[in-house]
Amino acid sequence: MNTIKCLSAMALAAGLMGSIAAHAAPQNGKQFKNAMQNASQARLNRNGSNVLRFDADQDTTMRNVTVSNSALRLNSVHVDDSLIADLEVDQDAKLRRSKISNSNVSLNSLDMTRARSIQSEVDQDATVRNLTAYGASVSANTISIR
Amino acid sequence: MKRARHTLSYLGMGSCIIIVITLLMPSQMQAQSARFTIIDARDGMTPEVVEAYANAMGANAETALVRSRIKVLTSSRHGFEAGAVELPEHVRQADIDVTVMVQQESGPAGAIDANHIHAARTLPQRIKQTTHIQGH
Repeated sequence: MNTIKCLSAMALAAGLMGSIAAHAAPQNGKQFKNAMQNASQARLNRNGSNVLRFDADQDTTMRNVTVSNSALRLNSVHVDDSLIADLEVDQDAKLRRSKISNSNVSLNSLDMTRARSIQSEVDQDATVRNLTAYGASVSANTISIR
Repeated sequence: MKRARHTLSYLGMGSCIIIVITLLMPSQMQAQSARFTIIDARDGMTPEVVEAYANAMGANAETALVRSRIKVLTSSRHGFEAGAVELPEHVRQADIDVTVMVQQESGPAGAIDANHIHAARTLPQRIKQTTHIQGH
């Protein structure tokens, strides 16, 4: 399934984990795979052309928010089964004055699954200030190529 | 020379307020314009809210360039779980700015899923997304 999916600033929840399961940060590989399949329903038709340019610029700021029992993703680009000649991703995530407990937080992620990019440029910038965290995992600036 | 236009439309029984504000202030020296959509989702994700958000994001755009400025007012109890918006195939560039202003309330909070684009059938050349989530 050929898919390009871009999302930003998603899934801030407390007490509604069931409703955000499809977008939740991966607990394991299986859950992540299922989430991708559920979210990917359309197809990318390259029409025989493999020369593609894709430029994604994402900027997310979250402040003064209390998060508990949640999955939080700020700036995320997923590329699934595509051939791109020139890929450019610029992600800037800022998390300020927030309280996070029992949650998974991901700032800036690029995930390429069964995808090829001849030339890639990825610029990721994550800023965390005045964060109170308890029982939380925070990942920043991740690139996954599988 | 200054011209301002305000369009206010109400959908549903007050459950959704969509305000499209266009400010045009042309002059010989400089020109400034601003256009954004305000969505009041404090009563939850009603069908009117979902439709208004999708339209504002560019789900029904007819041009190759989509430029959206959206401000969402919601409560922490309802959240704003809009999900992915599918862009039309002919959209080549998307420039989307979403601000979610959350009024803090007691009790369990709802999910927020904003500025979420699903572009799969054809590949846009450029996507620019700006998102702000702010608690009050």
